Amino acid sequence: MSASPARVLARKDARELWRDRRLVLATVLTVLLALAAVVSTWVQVSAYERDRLAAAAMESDSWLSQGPRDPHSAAHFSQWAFRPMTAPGLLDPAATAHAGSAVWMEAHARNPAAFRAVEDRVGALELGEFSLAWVIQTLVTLLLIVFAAGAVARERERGTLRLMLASARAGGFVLRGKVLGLLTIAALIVTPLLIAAGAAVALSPAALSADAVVRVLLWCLTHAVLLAIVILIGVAVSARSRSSAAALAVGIGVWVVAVPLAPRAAASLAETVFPTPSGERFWAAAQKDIHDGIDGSGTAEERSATLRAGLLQRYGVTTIEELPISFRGASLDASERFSNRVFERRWAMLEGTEDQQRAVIRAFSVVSPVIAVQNLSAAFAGTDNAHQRDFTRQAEVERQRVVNALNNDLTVNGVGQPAYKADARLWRSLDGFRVQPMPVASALAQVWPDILILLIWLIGAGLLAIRAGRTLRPELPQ
Amino acid sequence: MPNDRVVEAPVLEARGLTRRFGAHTALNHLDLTVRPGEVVCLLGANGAGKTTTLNLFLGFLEPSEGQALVLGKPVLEDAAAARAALGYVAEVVNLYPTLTGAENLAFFHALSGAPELGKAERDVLLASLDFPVAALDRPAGTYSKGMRQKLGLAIAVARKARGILLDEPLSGLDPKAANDLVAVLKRVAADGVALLISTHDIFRAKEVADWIGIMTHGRMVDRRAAADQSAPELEQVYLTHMAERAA
Repeated sequence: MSASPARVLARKDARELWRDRRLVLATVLTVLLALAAVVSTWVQVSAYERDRLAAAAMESDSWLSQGPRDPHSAAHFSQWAFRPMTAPGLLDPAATAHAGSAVWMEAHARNPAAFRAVEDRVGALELGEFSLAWVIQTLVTLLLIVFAAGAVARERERGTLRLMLASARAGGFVLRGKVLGLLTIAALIVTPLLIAAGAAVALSPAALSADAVVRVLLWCLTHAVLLAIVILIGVAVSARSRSSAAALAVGIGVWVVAVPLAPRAAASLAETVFPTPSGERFWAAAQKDIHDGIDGSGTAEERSATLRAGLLQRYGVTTIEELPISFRGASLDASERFSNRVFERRWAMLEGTEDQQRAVIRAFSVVSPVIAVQNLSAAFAGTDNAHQRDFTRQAEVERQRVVNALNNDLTVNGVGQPAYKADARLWRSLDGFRVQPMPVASALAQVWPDILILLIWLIGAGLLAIRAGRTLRPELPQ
Repeated sequence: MPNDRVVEAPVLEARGLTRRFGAHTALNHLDLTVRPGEVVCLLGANGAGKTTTLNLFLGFLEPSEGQALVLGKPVLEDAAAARAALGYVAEVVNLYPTLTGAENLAFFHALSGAPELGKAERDVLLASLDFPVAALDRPAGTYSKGMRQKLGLAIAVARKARGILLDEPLSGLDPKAANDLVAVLKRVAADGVALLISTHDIFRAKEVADWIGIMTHGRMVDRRAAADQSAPELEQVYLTHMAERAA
């Protein structure tokens, strides 16, 4: 049985590209760049994981060996929560370098994550992360735009389109063949990158799990869909162009808008419309809430007086010295619980602003599928804002657990003992916090709008290509 | 005299075939038949409607009025079926310059869905078309125009096309190459293939055609059996029509 005309055409295209060395050159360059990206990311991740494990061990040792101490003093002595790097993070570090990697879990304050990798870098190098995701989203898409521009228009220019259409037993095969050929080329270029990335992920010092494997597969699928969209649009543009130069001009224009421009413009507009409050303003507002109170709860002094009155009434005594619990411990505990409410409120406002920013950025997906791909890529790599938020929330839950336990220990055991000191037994019971990785199902729940957007783009690009195929003529009307 | 096959059903038929581009009528009520083994030349200057006629038979254009039929079926109803029965040779046969002649032939042949062409069958075919078989393994970018025309014809013949449309196939060929191609076209027609050739070369048209249709401004203004006219007579008729039209 003879091959379909579309396959025949795809094979012919591949052979032509191979003969004139364009494909070889493009593949070699892309593979070299991708290998450099994978190796550099792997080195960074390895260094980060090494440092994290060393710091975590040192931190644990420091916590356990702090000796007898007032529990509240220990709450201020505090601990650090370190964010672990996930294996798929190698594929797309996204904003990891700009996000803090450790949270200081101290009493009275929910601190933001600190120690951003960018702080240790030379400013001039801050031109964006060089990663496998960048290579595919930026470089491979550009290469495919260049290849797709000539796909049909070049056949038209040199007159072979007329002979092809006249030779085939059925119409509509040209676009199918061109898309098939370009998909093969994309696979040729990308497969070595994915093999290298897969090897890097497997060799990663970060933990590799079934969850990580699913994430890597979803990440690959996301980028395959992006490349398919680029090919479908590129071929449709080529089919509607008089010359490959005209198709290239349109293709590059679309690429400039979709890849470098739209994501940046979206982020810039989002920040303008919904500005993130400065750290100074955020902390000043939180401190004001703590001091002046929220929701009619009164000032710190009024809340303290209310607590005192309440405890005296509850235990039927007239002085705090007669209380069966440590008033200092109870007071610290109440203060902590109030500040927790304040921080939850303030952080919710901050996260609300981030969500609004994300909605604005997502709206730009109308002009660029790359925005949805960037969101999905970071989500599957475990390096997006949702994962960072999950990490800081876990750290906050742990902070509250530790501080509450320390305050509770003081409240129960510090009765009539102003100089009460807890010992290593308590420190040991509160050691060993490990951040749990966010399951891929939770990550998917965060990015379903992006999946939907990407599918709409894929269907739209497919319809555009089908229409271009149905109306394909050897020459375009003047 | 036209050959004996003219009694057979036409491979190509135009009935009042008309094509307009806006206010301009490129082809005006053309009636035409080309039967198996028959060679019909459409003779006319640029813009006379010759290429538009070929495009209508290939289904690349839709008629504004009338019908183009291939093997009795309207092209408009099934352009793919029409193209499956036809071969096409352009004024300049554009091949893929980095692919060899053999690869070009195999590619266009495979597109047609015809059974794979064996090497022996291919070489016999090319030899019958006076194409140098030894050149098949060279990149097509190195071929002369005559060689490309013959390979283009080979693409059409190899798929066993019932009719072949040739758009100015002799244009730009040196006299020997043109003579060779005329001889080849006669041999192809002798095998029962209907040929519809657009040309403005009166003398070659007289050599190859059974019938010659003179076209000006989208109309076929004269139709003559090539054998009944000498080349100078044909030229005189043609020039007269041109002058009338200009007046």
